[in-house]
Amino acid sequence: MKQSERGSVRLLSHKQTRQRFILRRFTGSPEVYQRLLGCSCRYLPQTLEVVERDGETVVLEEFIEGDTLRFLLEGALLSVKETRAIVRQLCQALWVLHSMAAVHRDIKPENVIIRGTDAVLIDFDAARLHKPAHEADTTILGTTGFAAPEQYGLSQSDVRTDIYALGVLMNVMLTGEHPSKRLADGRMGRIVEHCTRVNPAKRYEDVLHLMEAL
Amino acid sequence: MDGMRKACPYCGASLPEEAAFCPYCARSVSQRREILPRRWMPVRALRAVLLLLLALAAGLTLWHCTRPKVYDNGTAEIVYTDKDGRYQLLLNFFGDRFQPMTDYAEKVEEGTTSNKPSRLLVNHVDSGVNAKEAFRRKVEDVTVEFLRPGGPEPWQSSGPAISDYDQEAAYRTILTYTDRSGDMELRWTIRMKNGDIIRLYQRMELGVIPTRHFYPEDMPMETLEDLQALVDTVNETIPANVIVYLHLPAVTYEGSLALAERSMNLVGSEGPDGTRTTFTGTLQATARRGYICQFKGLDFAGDGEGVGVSAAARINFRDCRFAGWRTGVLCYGQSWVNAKDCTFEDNTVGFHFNATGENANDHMYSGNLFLRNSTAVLLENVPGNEQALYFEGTRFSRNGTDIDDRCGHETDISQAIFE
Repeated sequence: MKQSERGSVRLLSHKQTRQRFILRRFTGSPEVYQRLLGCSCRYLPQTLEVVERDGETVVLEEFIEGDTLRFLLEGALLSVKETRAIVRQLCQALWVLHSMAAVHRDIKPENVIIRGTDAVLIDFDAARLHKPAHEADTTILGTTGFAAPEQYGLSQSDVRTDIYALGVLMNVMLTGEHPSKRLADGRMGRIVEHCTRVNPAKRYEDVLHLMEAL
Repeated sequence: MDGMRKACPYCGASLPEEAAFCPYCARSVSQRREILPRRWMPVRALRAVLLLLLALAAGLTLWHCTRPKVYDNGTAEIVYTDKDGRYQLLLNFFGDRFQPMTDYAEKVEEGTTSNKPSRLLVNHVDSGVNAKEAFRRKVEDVTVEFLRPGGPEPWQSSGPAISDYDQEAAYRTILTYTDRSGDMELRWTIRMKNGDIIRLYQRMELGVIPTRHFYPEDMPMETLEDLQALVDTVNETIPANVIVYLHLPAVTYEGSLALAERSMNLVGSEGPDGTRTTFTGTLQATARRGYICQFKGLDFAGDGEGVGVSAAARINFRDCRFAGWRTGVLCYGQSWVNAKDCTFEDNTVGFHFNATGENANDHMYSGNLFLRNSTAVLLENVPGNEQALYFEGTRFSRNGTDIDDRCGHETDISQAIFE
C-alpha cells in the first residue's frame, strides 16, 4: 500500500478467515505500538502484534475499512458540525496516546479513516514517547503544513504538537486551506487559532481542553 | 522463543508465551483495557456552577445570619447574644440570680396547696450586672406553658409578669400546685422584637410528705399538761420528716408550752361562743428539726409581762393574736418568723426580730394589725440583707412607734396603712 524510506505498509489477508490486516515495517522505536497492544479504543486501529529486530519494527494491526479524510476532502468541505464530531473523536484517540506519554506527530487527513460514523486515527510510525528531558526533537518527522514549529527542532514535541496539527486539520476540513492562508470563520476559527499558536505554551493545554472548547 | 509456550484461548494453537496475536485463527490474544477520556465538564459551566454554589452559600450564610434564631437547649440556662452583648438568661425558683435550676425536687405535705415562683433572671455576661431592664426593652412577649401539666390537680401558672416583690427577676410567674399535682415540666418562651425565640425549661419532681394529724377526739389535749405530754410523745415517736398537725380544742392553756426537738403545726379552733384556743403562758419554740412550724388560729393572751411566743424555731403565724405581752413574738437565734393576718395589740413590743444567720424565708408580712403597742415592730437583727420586709395591707394603728428599725433592714411600707 505504501513504500518509503522510513518503511512500508502492506495489506495482508488471512487465508483461513479472509480477514484483512495491515502489516507495517518501519525503522524506529516500537514503544508506542507496544503500549497500544494492551489497550483498545474505537478511534484507533487495534494493534495486534509488535516485533522489533535490528532497529526495524514490524507491526500487525487491524485493517480499518473506510475512506481517508483526505479522500473525503477532495470532494467537499465539511460542516462545522461534522468537523466538530470528527475532531472530538480524534481528541479521544489522542487522549489514549497522550495518556501513555506518546505523541502521534503526524496528524493529517491521510491518517484519518472514516469508518461509518467513527473517525479512526492511524499510522503511529512517527509517534514517539514524550521525554521531558529532551529539549528538542532530534529527528524531523511529520508532514509539512501539519507539523508544529517545534517539530522542526525548535523544542521537543509534546501533546501540544498534536494539538497544533489538529488545529490545522480542523481548518482544512472547514476551509480546505492552511490557517495561515485562510482561517475558518467564527468560533471554530478562534479554536483553530488557539490550537496553532507558535508558542506551545499558548495552545490548549491538552486534548480535554480542546474538547471543552469544541 | 523455544522456551515457554501458551495455547490460543480461541483455537488452542500453541503460541509463544509473548505472542499477542494468533496467526491460526487471526484473533488477538492479548488482554486489552479500554481507555476513555475522563469525563470532562466545560470550564465555563464549571465556573458558573461554582459561582452559583458560592452565591448560594453566601446567600445561605446571609440568610442564616439575619434570620431569627431559636435558642433552645432544653435547660434553664441560655446565653443569648445580640448586637448589644451577651446575656445569661436563667430560670430558678429562689436564691442566687446566677444559679439556674433546671431540675428540682420537692415534697409537699398531704392535702395542701403550695406556691412557688418561677423566676426569669437576666445577667449581662461580661459585666455580671443585672440586665433585666435593658433586656425587657428587647422583649416582644413572654409566655409560660406546662409541657407536662401533672396529675389530677394540674399545675397552674399566674402567667409571667414583672414583680415588684422580686426586684432581681426580669419576670416571674407564680406556680400553684398541690400534693396531687405530680411532676411537671415548664417552658418559658421569650419572643424578642428582632424575631429571635428563646426557650427555657424547668422540671420539678413532686413528692408527698407523709403527714399525721392529731385531734382532740383521738388524744387528750384539754390541758396544758396533756398537750405537753402529747408534744413530748410526738417528739419521741414520730420522725422529723413526717409533718405533724395538732388540732387543738377551743380551750385556754394556762402555763408555758415547750416545743423542742422537732417541728409541729398547731391549729387552733373556735368554740360556739366565739372563744378560741388560747395560751396564757409563753410558748417556747426551740425545735430545730423538721419543717417550718405552722401556727394558725391561736390566741396568746398575756398580763403585760413576759413573751407570748419565744421562737428560736422557724414559725409561720397565720390568723393568730398576741395581746398584753411585754413582747408578743420574739424571734431570736438563727430562726425566721413570719406572720400574716395576725393581730398584735396592747403589747410593749408587738413583734421583735432579733435573729441572725441564713434562714431568711417569707418576707411578706401582710394583712396584720398592730394596735396600741408601745412599739409595733422592733427590728434589732434580721437574717439576710438582700430583701425588704413587706407590710402589704398591714395596719399600724395607735402604736407608740410603728417600726423601730434599729438594724437598718430595708422595709417596704408602701402598701401599709397607718392610722
